[in-house]
Parts: sequence; structure tokens; C-alpha cells
Amino acid sequence: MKQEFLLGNGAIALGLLEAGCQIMTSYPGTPSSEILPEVVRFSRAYNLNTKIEWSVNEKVAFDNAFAAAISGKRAACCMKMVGLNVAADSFMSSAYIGNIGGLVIISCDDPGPHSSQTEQDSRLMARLAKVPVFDPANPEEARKMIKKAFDLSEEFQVPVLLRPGIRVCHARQNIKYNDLKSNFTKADFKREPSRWASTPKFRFFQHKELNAKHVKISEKFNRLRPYNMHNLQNNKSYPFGIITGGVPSSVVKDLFEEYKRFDIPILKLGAPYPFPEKLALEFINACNKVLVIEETDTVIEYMLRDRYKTLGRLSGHVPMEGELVPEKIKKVLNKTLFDCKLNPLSDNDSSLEALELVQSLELPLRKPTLCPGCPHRASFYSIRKALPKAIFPSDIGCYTLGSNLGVVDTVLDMGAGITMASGFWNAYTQDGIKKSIVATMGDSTFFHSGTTGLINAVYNNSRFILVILDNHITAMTGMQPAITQQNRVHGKKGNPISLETIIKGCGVEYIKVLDPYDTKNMIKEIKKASDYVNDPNGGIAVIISRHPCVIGFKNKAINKKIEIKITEDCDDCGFCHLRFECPAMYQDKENEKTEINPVLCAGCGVCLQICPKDAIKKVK
Amino acid sequence: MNITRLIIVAVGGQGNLLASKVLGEAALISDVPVHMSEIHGMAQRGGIVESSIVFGDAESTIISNGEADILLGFEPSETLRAMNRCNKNTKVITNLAPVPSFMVAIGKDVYPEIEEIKNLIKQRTKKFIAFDALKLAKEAGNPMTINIVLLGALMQTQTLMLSKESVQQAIKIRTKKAFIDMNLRAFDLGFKTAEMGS
Repeated sequence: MKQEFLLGNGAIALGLLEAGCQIMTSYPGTPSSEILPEVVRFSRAYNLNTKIEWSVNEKVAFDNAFAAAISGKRAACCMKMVGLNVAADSFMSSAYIGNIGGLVIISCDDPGPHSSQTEQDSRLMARLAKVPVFDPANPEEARKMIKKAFDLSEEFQVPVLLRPGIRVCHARQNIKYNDLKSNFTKADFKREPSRWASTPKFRFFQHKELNAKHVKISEKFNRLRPYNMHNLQNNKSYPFGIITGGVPSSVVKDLFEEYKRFDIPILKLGAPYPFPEKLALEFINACNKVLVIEETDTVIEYMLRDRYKTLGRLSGHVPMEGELVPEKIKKVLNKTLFDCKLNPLSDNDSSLEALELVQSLELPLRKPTLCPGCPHRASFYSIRKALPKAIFPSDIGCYTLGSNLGVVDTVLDMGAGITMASGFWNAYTQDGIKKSIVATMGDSTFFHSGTTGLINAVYNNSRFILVILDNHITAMTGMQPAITQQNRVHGKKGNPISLETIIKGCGVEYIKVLDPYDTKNMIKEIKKASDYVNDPNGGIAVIISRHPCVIGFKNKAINKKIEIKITEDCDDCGFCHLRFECPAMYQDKENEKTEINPVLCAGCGVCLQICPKDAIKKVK
Repeated sequence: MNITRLIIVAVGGQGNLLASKVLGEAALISDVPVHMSEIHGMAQRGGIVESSIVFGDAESTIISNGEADILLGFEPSETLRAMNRCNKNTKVITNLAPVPSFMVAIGKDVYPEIEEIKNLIKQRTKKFIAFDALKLAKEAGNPMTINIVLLGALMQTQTLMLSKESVQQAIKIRTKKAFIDMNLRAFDLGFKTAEMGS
């Protein structure tokens, strides 16, 4: 027996391998990114035969896992919840068609949101796709649910979704486990076109079959202890009860322990869909009112269907947005108990005064910034210098932080940097205006969803500059390998993909590769590219701004640190820290002069080129 | 079993997550149930990195306003910002060497006076330990050991159900081999400084 203080995503990885998952695919995204690397770590430690890949996007990951599952193997794919949007097309069909070997989809939610563009609830997506859902409350439960999810998926030949919240993914817990073994089930795809390639008419029958499966699964979920259960005493009725599941169920449990409120019964729904109708009815019949505490949307609340007894978001008792942290749940409980004329949990809130004090201090904000030496900073600086009046559609990654530098005007979703550039072009050309547009996108995002937009833009004769910020890595989510590089996640060699070849293949004739650390050259090249875009015989211009990430490739990115000093010529105009936004530069209030923080300075030397007074010099 | 709730606040790059993992490992050695929560992602680029660690039989890892038993701050203004998590019985330990935010660096924000920070925290807590942990980390051999210096001070307060030895053992397991001696030195420096109650 081994024991580890394991990250939730590690516990999920462990659960996958304990359940005999043979194929595992993923695309990184907070809070899901550590699942795949943990599967790699465990597989290595026990010399397992697990087939693992970082796919190019979530749809690719999904289809890969799906094919393995219909070949009879146990397969899983992992993503963040907005990644499930990318895989949605496949996901929607998958439950109709079904699978042979177990298929588990892990979609990690981010209520808050801490590191995402929406607060969407993956359980709603699962309902739309008619895929059963497990909603773990903590890492250990997530690990155990995965085994159940695989078994269910095989028993009913239907994919199953696990929806861990960020507080499961990024929680740590002591976890004990035994040695892991490989699963040697062989691939055995049986041709059955009427099922695997069914036409709309047969889809109707598949839909009917799926609905019949749901009735049976719901029946099973009525008795799925300890994930679905209540603590009602026989024949007793209650004025008030709580229905909860997932992360908030842990909070409710702890609060009731702390305030000794064993008078309030709880129905926990760790497997809320297909809805365990009988279990819920049993509970709601015994209570005068029930309060639903679920994250992040109204899944259980809608399925209860009793608008007189049910309190929650729709009754205005639970906030419609944001994470349900303990203090919010406590407040919700106190208010609801008061409304129901019952004793609140507590009547004093000692923390309120402290909260007011902290808020009144107006402490300095800490907003995220690009790292010192980040090649994106140099790129953004040059873009703005060359075409200050352009529109700047951008995309999702570290470089979203270019908004601080005034070079990120829009962020919609993965790939929209290019597609929105086309849209802006159309909107302005209709009025006879040739607007400068410079789109930015990272290398990983370009492979994820850039090419279709680029092909579309070339075909429809849009005109803009696309700057691909190629730092050889997926940096924001924790340095996952880029497909332009040799090494794959488990150290095996891949066949690297050339950005230039792909862009050329999309029909782009103007491609320039440059190093953003040379800002003079980049400014010149952007102006040249702009001329090409505006030439009647021109087209879309792509600039590949190539320099390795300073965190992911420390030595390669800056192989010789340049030590700099600030000379007497500095008049503290603030350009280097205000406009160029280098975190290693700061204003010394006493000397009224700009200073360098040597601990933060990466030694990239880009600032030597940007000082308007030429007051930054190399130390010889 | 009692429940002890610890909050660690730091700025990205100060080694908060490693410090938390060391405590988790020590809990494992001591057979104490432990749950922890950390925030990754965009916040790590120059933002605030917070972990909450719950020792004992609780299930939720989030610590709400007024619920922390101990607050360990790696940066003075961040310690002050986290005061809403404290009640009048909370013990507060903080490093006094500031890491000015980017907004302060560009002159758009003002960093509070250290003495003011100290006074505000002191008024509101039962036990308050504040010292320049960066200086001690440098003394131990590397400014990066600041996280371990602060762990030393934390362990001196004897608020967690863990022994000093279990944390030292965890440092040996969780930190890089080449730095073990330096880290143990940093731990001792933090422990002794807290003992003097500075």
C-alpha cells in the first residue's frame, strides 16, 4: 500500500488507471491540465501500457477516445469545461451511438471563474447530450466515481461524464493506493454500419433506445449509495431540507457538523443525471421546503419540478453567478432558515468587520502581467509601434495579457483572433474603409482552431496581418509541449509539424519569420506586411514571431544574460514600465528615476532598444 | 479530532505551493488527515497565490471569512489583505520584506507603510509574529528559501498537530536534494526567530 498527498487531478489520474483505462487523450486547460501528466507519471512508475496523447484540440481528443471505446477498450478524454464546447459536436452524437468499452469524459468546471471565460456548468452540456453525470465532492470521491463511471458506461453502452469542480481538481488529499496493473483488452472493432454510421432514420431508434437506458440508469441512481443518498429518518417529516451535490455538498456537510445542525436533513446527489426521481421524491415529500445548493447552474433545481417547495437560484435565495464559497453558503443558509422561520446557523458574523477594514484600505492591486523577458511583450510593443491605430483581435493564452499593452482588443474563444479579423474586415470594407487589422494568436491556439479561420479568410479575400506568437510551448496551462517540437509528453519522439508549411498550405503567400527580440526589424516588417495587405494584388500577411518561452526554455530563450544599467540621461518618463510594461523596471520615488530590479530582470536586453532617451545601456 | 485551518498567502514565485506540499507530506508522516486547496492558472503570472490547508476531519478545503486559525503571509500587504479570514483568536505570522506589485512599480498605486501594516494586524490578533524572512533566507544561503524560513516560524507556534521533526523530514522528501541542507538551515533560522517572538 502506497500513500501520497495527491492533487485532485492526480487522484483522477489514479482512478482512471485503477479502472483499467487503456487510452487517455486530453487538451490542456485550467483546471484540468495536470490529469494527463499524472497519468503519465503513474503509468511510468508501474510500467503500464497506457496509450496517452496530448491531442491538438478537445474534439480530436474526444474522437480518438471514442474510437478506442467502440473497439472495446476503456478510454477517457479530459478537458476544461469550455473545451467540451469544442468537442460538443462529437459529444452530442456519442450517447445516441453508444460504446462497447467504457468511455469516460472528464470536463473540469471553473466556478468563479478563476481561469476561464465563462462559468458554464458541464452538467447542462451532459443533459443536452443525454450523457449520465457524476459530480465528485472531493479528490477521493472523484477517484472512486471513475470506476463506477466505467462500469456504468459498459453496462449501458453509453458514455459517462465526470464533472469535477476546480476545488476537486486543485485540492490535495492523502490518498492510499495499491500497485497498478495494465489492462490488456485487445482492440476488436466489429463492423456494424447501422450503428456506427447510422442515418437519421436509425438515429431516431437510437434516441429511443437511449431514452430507455435513461429510465434504467435513473432507477440505478435512486440506489447509488454513498453518492446518492439522504439521511431522513423513517416516517418523519421536516420543515426544511437541503439538496446538494459536488463541491458545495462538502461545504454544507462541514457547516452542519460545525453548528451541530443535525435537525436539517440532506439529500446528496453525486450522480444527478439521469435524475434519481424516486429518491428525490422521497426527500421532497418528507420536507416542507427544500433548498438546492449546487454549482454552477440550475440542473437539480429544474429537475425537481416543484416550484412551491423548491428554493434556490430561481427563488432568489442562491446567487446566480460566482463560486459558492463557504461564507456565501453560510449566508444563503442563514437567510433561507430565517425565511422559513427556523433558527439560523449563527447570528454573529465576526469576519464582517475585518472584511470592511480590508476593503477600506485600498491595498495595491496585483494583476497578472507577462513575465520579464517574455517574447510576447517585445512582439506587442513592435505591433503597437508600427500600427498604433489598428484593431487588434487576439486570442486565449498568456498573450491575452497583452491587453495591458493596448494590443489586445478582443478575446472571444480559441481561434477567434483570426475569424474576428475577417469579420472586422467585412464590417469596414462594406463602408468603403480599409481598416488596419492585426490579429495575434499563439502557436498552440493556431493548431487548436486557427487553420479553418485562416482558410476561410484567404478564400473570401479578407485582408489583415496575422502575427503568430510562436514560443514553442503551451505556456499558460503549465508548459505542455507544442506540436512544432520533437518531444511528446512521455519523452517519446513525435513528428514535428512546421507552422510555415501549414500556413502556406492554407493559401497564404506572404509569410515572414522573425525574432521579436529585434524590435527594430519587427516594426519594419509589420509596416512592410501592412503595405502588402493594402496592395490590390496583395492578400493576408502572416508574421511568425518566433522566440522560445523564457520559463519553458530558460537557457535557449536567453542564452547569455545582458546586464543593463540606467544612465544619467533617464528623465523618468516611465516609458519602459508604463508603455513597455517590464515588471523588472520601477520608479524610485526618492531619486525620481527609473531603477532595475535585478532579481526580476531576465537579461533579455530588449529594453536597450526601446528607451526614448537612450538611457538604458549594457554593463560592459 | 479538532480541525485546524491554515491559510498561506504569497505572491507568484515565492514558493507557496512547495511550502504547502511540505506540510501535506508532514501530515502524511504524522498520520493526520489533511485537505488542501490551491489556485493555479492565470493568477500565477504575477498575481496572488493562496493555499488553504485544513488539518483534521473536515471535507471542504475552502476557508471562509473569519475561519482561519493561522494565517501565514509571505508578503506583508498580502497578509493584511487576507485579514478578513481571521478572527480575534487567529495567529498571524508574516514576512516583512515587501514585493511591490506592478501597479506600485509604475506609480499608479501606493504601497502601505510597513509599520502601519504591522499595527493594523497587531490590533486584531492574539498572537502576531513579524520579521524579515528574506534576510534570513539570504543568511541560509538563498533568497528562494524564504518559504522554508516561514515554515520554521509556523512550526514554532505549535498550532498545527504536527511535530517539528515531521516537517523537517518532509523537507528532506519534498525539496531538491542539492538544497536540503540549505532548507533545513532556513527552517531553523525561522524557528529560532519566532522563538524570540520578534
